[in-house]
Amino acid sequence: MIVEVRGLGHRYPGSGGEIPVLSGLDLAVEPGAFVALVGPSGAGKTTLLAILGGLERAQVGSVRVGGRELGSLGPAGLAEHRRRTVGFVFQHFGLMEVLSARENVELALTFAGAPARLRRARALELLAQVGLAGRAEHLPGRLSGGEQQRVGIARALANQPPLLLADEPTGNLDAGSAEQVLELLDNARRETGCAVVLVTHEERAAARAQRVLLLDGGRLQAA
Amino acid sequence: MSWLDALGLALLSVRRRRARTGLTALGVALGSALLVALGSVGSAAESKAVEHLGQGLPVGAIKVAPGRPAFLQLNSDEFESRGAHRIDDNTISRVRGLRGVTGVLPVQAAPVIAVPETGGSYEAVMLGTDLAAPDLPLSVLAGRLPASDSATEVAVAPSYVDRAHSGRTPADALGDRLTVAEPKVVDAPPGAPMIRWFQATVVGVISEQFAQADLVVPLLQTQAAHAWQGVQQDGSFDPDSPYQQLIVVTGGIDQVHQVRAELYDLGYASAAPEHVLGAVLRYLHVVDIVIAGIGVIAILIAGLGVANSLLAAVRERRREIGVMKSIGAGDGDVLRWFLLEAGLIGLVGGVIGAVAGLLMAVLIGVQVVDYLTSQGIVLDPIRISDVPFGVMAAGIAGSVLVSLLAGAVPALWAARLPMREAVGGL
Repeated sequence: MIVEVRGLGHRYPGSGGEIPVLSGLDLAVEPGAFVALVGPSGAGKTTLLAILGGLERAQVGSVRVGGRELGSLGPAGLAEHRRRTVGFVFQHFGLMEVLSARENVELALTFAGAPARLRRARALELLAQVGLAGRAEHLPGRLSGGEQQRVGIARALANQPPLLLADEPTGNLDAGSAEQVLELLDNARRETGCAVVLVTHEERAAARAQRVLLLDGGRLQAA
Repeated sequence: MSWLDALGLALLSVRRRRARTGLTALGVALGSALLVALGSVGSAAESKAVEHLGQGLPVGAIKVAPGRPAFLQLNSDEFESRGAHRIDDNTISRVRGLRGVTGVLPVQAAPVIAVPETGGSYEAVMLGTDLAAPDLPLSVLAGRLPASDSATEVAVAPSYVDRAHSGRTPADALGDRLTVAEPKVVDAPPGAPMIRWFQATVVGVISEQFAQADLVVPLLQTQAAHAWQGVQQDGSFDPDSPYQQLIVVTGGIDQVHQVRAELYDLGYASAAPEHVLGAVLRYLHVVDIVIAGIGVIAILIAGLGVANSLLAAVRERRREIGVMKSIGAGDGDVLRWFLLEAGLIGLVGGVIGAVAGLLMAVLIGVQVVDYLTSQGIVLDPIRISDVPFGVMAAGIAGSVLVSLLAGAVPALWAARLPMREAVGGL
């Protein structure tokens, strides 16, 4: 399994005390799987993604990703986890405004310690794969939403992670662009063998997944 | 991420956020310009004061007269003599052996009338010295110094070029024929003074007035003039001394008093502007402290500007920081990025400020020299070459350092931003 979660619990502080978000959650994702997480707003879908990605620590339970127990990793270990094991795709694209499409992709390679001479070629190769070969030197402000999201996918794939975490990747896109992005995610899964965990509100997006899980009341159940 | 990669990222960030970078760097530049301008003016004022009070002699020079020192000699900057004491070759060798002495130059001055071939005439001081002496404290603007045994060569001060070749370069004076008249005062019968004259060729132009001399010739020339013109020494000095004066060069101003004390022990009256120079330098030191205080305040204000700008940048770029961390950046990477950005802003502002400060210093110097000239104090204007490199380097280094310090808090804040909070939409 690329993801094994057992008895995950998580709470957030609220004005009237702590609010439970996840409670006794179990999840297993096989390598190469395409899993969609759906559920009402505030159900904890994004929190689950943040915990899997090492952005946030689990308060209760065990979270193993890529064979490593995340709770046992220190800050440096979690940073390494984010570099090598997961790739993030954001709803807001998450591109650095001052960097060109190529430089944004190169940044992920830089953090992973790739040699400078290889970064450029790899970034251009990835941008070509997402259909942006001619837009490599454009700043994000000069790209459409769909193009920015494709740059985001190229960046997420830069270090060939075994797990892609996508948080509402089509939420800010028109139907045509959304379809392209979903196609890219699915292609990436098939070509690289990475698993995709997709958080979405859109039925059409969820329909792409092999497995759709509903997160409600802090637990997952088949939708 | 390596420091080099972080530098590349910071460079891109600074370059592509031109408006913010420009405005922040401008604040730093203003502080740096003020610091460099004030520092340059202070430093130039000090060197000009030393130059002016030194009366054309090198810094740390002492004049020695053929007279015995009076009891209070060391309390005075002028000659205080109580009887004759000849200066001869033996004196020169004893003075050369004193601790702190780096050079001894015998000199003899004679009042003359210089008549350039271009017309006109003017009263001048002809200074004879040992032109073969090592470490002669004379620098030549054009040509060379006269041969030490020549009776027909002369070097002139820039004042000659101003008179005979106004607006031309020193090299234009080379080869000029100059008539030098040596007047002799006679008691009786009353009438025109007797004049002996010789013709010389201008072979060099010295860089500045040396010991208030207008003409520099070999010692034998002024010794001949001395023999012709008769007694010209102050009544308390030895009129038959082979040398009219010695110029003793020391290692610096701080060694002047000690060397004068040794000359006192040798039995010679001496003169050096040590007391007046000391008082002026103490005054200038106080001015320096005030100037440095103003400059430091200016650069601290600039530092606050950098801190404010970077804090705003961290607030604006929370999501960027979160995204960076989500793709693998550690806290140290973010810290390096923001610190280097602050340092680059400081460097850009510091360099611009240093250049602007230098120009400001020259402009201020022109105004000050104009004012002093109108008050009868003649000084050379401040040139860019007068500004010590250290002042500019301090202005740039200070800007970078203050920017780094000012950027440290925002950088730490950025590095410690909780990832989930920073990344926002995830």
